[in-house]
Amino acid sequence: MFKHIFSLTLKSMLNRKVTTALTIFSVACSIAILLTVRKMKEAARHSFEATISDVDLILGARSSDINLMLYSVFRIGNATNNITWQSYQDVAARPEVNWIIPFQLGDSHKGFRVLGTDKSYFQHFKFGKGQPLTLDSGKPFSLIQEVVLGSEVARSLDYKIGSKIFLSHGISDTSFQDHKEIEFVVVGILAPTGTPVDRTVHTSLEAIEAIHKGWEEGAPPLETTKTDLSKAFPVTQITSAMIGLKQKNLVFKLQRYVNEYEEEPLQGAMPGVAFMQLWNIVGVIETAFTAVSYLVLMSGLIGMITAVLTSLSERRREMAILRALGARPRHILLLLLSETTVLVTFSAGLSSLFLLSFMYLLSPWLAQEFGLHLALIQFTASDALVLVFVIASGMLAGLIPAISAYRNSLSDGLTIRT
Amino acid sequence: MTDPVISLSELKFKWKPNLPFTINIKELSILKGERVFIYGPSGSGKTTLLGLFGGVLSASSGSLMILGHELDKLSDGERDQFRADHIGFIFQQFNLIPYLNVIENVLLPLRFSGRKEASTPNSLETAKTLLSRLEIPATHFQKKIFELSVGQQQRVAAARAMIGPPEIVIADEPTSALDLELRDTFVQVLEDLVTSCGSTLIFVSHDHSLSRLFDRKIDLPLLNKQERSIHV
Repeated sequence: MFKHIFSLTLKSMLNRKVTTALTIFSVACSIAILLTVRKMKEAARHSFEATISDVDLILGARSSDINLMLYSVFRIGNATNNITWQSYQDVAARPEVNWIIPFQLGDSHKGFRVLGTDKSYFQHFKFGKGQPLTLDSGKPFSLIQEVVLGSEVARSLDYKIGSKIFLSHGISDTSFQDHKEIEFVVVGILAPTGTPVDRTVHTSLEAIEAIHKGWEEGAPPLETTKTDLSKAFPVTQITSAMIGLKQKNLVFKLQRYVNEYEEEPLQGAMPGVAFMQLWNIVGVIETAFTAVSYLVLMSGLIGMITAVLTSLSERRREMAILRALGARPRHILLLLLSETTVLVTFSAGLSSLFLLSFMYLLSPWLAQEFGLHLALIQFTASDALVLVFVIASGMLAGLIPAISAYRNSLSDGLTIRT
Repeated sequence: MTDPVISLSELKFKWKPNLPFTINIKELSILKGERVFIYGPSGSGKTTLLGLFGGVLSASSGSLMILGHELDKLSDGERDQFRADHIGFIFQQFNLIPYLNVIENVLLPLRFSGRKEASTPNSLETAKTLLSRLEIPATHFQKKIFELSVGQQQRVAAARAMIGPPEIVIADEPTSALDLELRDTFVQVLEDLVTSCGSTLIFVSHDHSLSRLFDRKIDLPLLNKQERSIHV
């Protein structure tokens, strides 16, 4: 019997092609919005957590975990203070430390942050799921006047190996105080990572020291003379450092050492903890987006119910005929329920198609502009679960017209009203 | 040919407890193979009576026996099944399901009745034969309903009512949408078909002129002693 009812449902829906197609389309759109918001959320979280990998502790001047994280990992905001080279070396000498990468931030080039670091950066810095940095072209810096560019810097400023650049003092986008004493040359360009590395100009710690010679007062020296690069520029201070440990479980020991360091106030932040704190703040927006997408889904389903209810008043005669032929009221119920089920199932299918084509079409742009790597995100079991939930809600909502038709068929009987 | 197909006594029905009786019939019996014309102008209770025969309504009091079954003793579901198995209906117009083609419409009753399906082993052939006997050309079998004339639609509806075939065929104003000259032919063809299948025909109409085509005539306003009270 169900087979016959279902075939009636399909034929009836085909008979109302335009309405059916439009209903499916509109419900599919609302489901697609829900799925897309979920995917973007996932992608955002994913790329957020993929900015650094394998780092056990971030070292910096004492502030807060989130602040330390924001400026050293995401290049957002400023360090409250620098730490001395001596403190850095004390920490680096600890037996727990496997590797350590010094970070010196504070300068920029045309809006891109400049990061002073050393060779360990190219060796130990990892992102994503432990992927190392690779050079698209050129080599790591070795001389003071050499820089290595992130892929985005090279692309947007159209720099090649051999391009000559000046670094600017401070981090404002429109800094006019160039460090004219040293002309830098691009020696390497990194492959894209989808992390803040892409938007960073890398050079040596010594270079940062060198360009600040004579800037100790915070203002440019009165006379700009070319710096003699044959001199030595001993590193005096850095902003922060990324530390990898020999054993993960030593992290608390090292953190205690750092936090209790007596020479100056230091702070050790565990990335996982800081990420979580940060995500809790961002999470509010995320929740708001999710709420809105569920509201959109609800309105889509209400639209579907409205369409079915409207068609019902035109189909009262049809229901009465079916009743006269022996259909029971529950067959009428089933007829309507299977209609909404078909509608919402097709919508769910179509919405997945929308999502896939959206991901396919927009992922290059999103990766470039926002570092959101949708392509990395697959259609997961939890997405399937969301679709099951959507179909179930659609079927539940379908009870409204179904029960209405059931009641009508009881009261109408065989009387056919025009 | 003397078994009563339908017999009722003291049958009363009212829509709501505080309303007057819409149906109040002392006695009526219709025999197997009879072709009965029930004259019923609007308001005479004809729709209600057919609802009772079809088992969609249940009587307030009295007894209604159809094919040996006391309809009031059956559950709602059993009455639906009984209707599906034993009765064929033809209505005034727009009888057919718009999204099914001619053949699909004729075969539809078999989907709801195990009895009709079992007694029609070669259903497609039977449907075609019925349609041919009702002078629907074979070229129309796969056509959409809206491509047919009103007269053709009524004949398809008749074929659908006859498949199975049911013991009782109830026709409710089947000719009112037809032209004058088509009416007699339609009734004639229907009667022939019903007779050849051994079924009983109950034909309800407000059109007195058709009564001459039937063996037995019943005047519903005379039979049905409705309470003449204030109509709300």
